[in-house]
Amino acid sequence: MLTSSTSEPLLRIDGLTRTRSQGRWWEKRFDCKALDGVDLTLETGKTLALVGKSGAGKTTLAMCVAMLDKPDSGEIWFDGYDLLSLTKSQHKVLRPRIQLIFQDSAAALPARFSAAQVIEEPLLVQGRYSAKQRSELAIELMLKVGLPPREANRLPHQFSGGQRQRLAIARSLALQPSLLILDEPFTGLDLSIRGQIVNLLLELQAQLSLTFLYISHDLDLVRHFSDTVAVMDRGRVVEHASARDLFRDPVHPESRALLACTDARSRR
Amino acid sequence: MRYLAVRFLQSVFLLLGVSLLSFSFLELAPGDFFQEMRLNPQISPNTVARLRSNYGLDKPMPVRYVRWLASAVRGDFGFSFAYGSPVTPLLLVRARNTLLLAGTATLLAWTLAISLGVLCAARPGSWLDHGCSLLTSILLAIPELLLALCFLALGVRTGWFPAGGMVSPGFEDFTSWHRMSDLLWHMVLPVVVLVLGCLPMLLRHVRAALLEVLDFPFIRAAFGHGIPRRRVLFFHALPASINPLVSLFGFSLGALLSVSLLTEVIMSWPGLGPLLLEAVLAHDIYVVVGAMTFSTLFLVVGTALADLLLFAGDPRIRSEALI
Repeated sequence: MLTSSTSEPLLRIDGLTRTRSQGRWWEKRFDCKALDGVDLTLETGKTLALVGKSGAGKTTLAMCVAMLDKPDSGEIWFDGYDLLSLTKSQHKVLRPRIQLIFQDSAAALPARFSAAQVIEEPLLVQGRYSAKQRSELAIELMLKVGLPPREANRLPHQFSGGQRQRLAIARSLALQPSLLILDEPFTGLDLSIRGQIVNLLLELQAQLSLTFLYISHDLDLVRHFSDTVAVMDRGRVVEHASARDLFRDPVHPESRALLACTDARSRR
Repeated sequence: MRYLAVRFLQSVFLLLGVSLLSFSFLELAPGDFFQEMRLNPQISPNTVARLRSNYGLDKPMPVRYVRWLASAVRGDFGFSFAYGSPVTPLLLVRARNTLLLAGTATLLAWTLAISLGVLCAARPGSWLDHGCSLLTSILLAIPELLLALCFLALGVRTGWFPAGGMVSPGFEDFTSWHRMSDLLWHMVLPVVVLVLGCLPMLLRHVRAALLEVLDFPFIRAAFGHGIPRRRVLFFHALPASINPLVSLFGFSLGALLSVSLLTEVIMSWPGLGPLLLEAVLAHDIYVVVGAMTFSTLFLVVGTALADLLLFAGDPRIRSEALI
């Protein structure tokens, strides 16, 4: 485990388990352990990358942290609050602070809302802003993520993949989150766009002191983008180290296997 | 523009085809309107023959059809032998009555279907969901004929509702308030039967469409942004699931003149249903053809409206349209 800094970690996950029962009703049901005692910590302002094979439990973990799914047991501590036993008012306060960016931006945005409406909707629901303030904020956010404001009336499917992802980011930023969970946000984007979005996120992190939980398959990006890395395998965290240490000297065979794939690619 | 022209031509062909077919079917059926008269020994065959030629029934079918067509496009659908008056005003009055009934029932059925459908889809597997499922199965299994008879019997037995008809005797002397309440009182039973008849299918479709949409990522994303459940259901899920429902609604509109036929006959509601039935039995050709064509016109307009609604409602279709 990392040596803790003077401040408490923003996010602390203890022994999280989530079992899913699979199989149709005429088959024998078997239980699949999506999460099997996961322990993690994440410091404020840092980026933790979660890597692992498909089916390792990364997305399940992301859903649980984003409060979109309930784990069977364990604890998630966010800024001193236990996410699994929140009162209604606490939930209302914390909900905007943890946001999730999905992998497929086209599927994650409502198809009939214009870009401005997409960004304004979370603000509308909060009820704190007038219509004028909302549209001003929307324009501001569009500029911040690099979307031209004159496209504010366009629909999501009329944007390119990279622009859509920016729109999704703008929408999340509208709520002024502290923790942003990125579930493979760069898949499906070509390399140059990927670079732009990565730089955008890094800028935003510096400006707004955001904390990122970044889920990925792509270890090259992970190396560039994150401070610490946690390797998951079959629902458990098998290694958790700083990015530099992991890439220089992986301990667990799973980490070594993952790195071997990348090295083979980069050597080509 | 081209698309619209093609649609229009298709509709014209459909109308022509339906009118021709109904004309032909009635011709193929043995006998004609004056059949009854011929059996009466007191009327001489000469009189019958003269009556027939007066009404043009001795001309060959193609000639009669073309003549009918020529006047139909001008709005004159012919002459009714049984009623002794032009067909068009007769049709219009009856169609108005049918529309009143079927329109109210369709509106009510859709409102119920959407509200219940959304609630059931939001809580799949709940008591409400299973209850509605059971209800729809039972209603689908009961033929509309039986439903209409049962409700009519209920009305007669309890005396709470009139035993059919549209207005009570002396309607013309009622005050306008009394007229409206009388009309509504008469409408209750047939509307209930019609609603129970079409609700099951509508409810199932709404529920299925919503369930499919609720699995999509953007629903979860909306929850993640703190958007409350009700708003997500009605502003995100429902609009996304609306496309198949709009097409279905178009068919509902198109069927407005035909869906209530059976119920009208049983409940003696003076609409197109009883008119059509009587006319077919009496061989009143022009009424039958007129009613069929009218109904088909409605169907055509209804489906066209559905397509228009689809076009107007889904911004994605609009932006990619080639029109």
